[in-house]
Amino acid sequence: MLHDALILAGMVAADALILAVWWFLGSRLVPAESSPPAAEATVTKTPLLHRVLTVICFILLVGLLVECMAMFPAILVRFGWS
Amino acid sequence: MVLRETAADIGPTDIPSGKPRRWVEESDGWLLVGCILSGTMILGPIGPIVLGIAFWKLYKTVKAGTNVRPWAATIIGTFCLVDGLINFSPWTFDTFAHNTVLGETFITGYGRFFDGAFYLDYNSGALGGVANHSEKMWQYLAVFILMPMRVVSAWAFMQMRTWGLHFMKVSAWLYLFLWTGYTMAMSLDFPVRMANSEFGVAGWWMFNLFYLSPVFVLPYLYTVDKSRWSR
Repeated sequence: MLHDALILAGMVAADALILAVWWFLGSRLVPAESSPPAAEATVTKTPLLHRVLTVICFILLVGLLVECMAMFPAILVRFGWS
Repeated sequence: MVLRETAADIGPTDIPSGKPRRWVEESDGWLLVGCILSGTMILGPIGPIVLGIAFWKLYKTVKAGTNVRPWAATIIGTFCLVDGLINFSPWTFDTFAHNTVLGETFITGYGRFFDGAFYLDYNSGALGGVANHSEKMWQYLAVFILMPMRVVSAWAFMQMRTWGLHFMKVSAWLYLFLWTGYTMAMSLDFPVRMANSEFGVAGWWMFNLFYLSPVFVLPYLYTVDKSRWSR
């Protein structure tokens, strides 16, 4: 039990470290061209495209959340602990 | 001179009090916790409830017209963040915690349902966990490069950071690369992978359909008004 807890704590620490390294790298790799000021920005009007993509992504997000909710309980019910 | 009148025109760095804001939206803390809990999959049954609370709070700000971040960016960013985390977290279980009861139960259970590579000869390879060589190769690419990059870029994108939008594009292209290679690897190994699972071909579709995120996200990223990502 303690052995498992230590490994799992190590895993969480490793995950946090990996994410922190990528956050550090990403925040320093800002593209060379800066964003244009709002008044001069070239605005591409694509409201329909954005609406369609948002709806598709929302449906896929719901699917992922169902997967997140059901997966581990389903494993425990069907196969039990290993 | 630029006149800013509506909430949508006010940039995320414009703070009346002068004190830097931690989040772009007030309820972003709920959103982050909900995504992380959902993404672990082990705590999955709790995560969507927290996420639901976050969405409700955010939707109220959209209705009131006080939101800073466009609703589309919230949905697409959340989708990418949860997607990145549910790939990152289970694969790290297999990478770092394959000897634990929790890790082995979860990973081999997933294998029995969807992909035989995750339970046949489990923990018999040099690196432990999955023994299938091509799966191990994709796993290391995902755990150390692509998925953490996806997770941090999705959050930075939702925090309206310039580098967040840039990294979202980069990680979306890399994701498309991984999806194509991974799909090929699974299809070529079908007899020893999907054929040895409860769901078989249906499982292949169930999982891979949701991982097509770059196809839907890239058109948005390239047509959005990038001047709003200015933090």
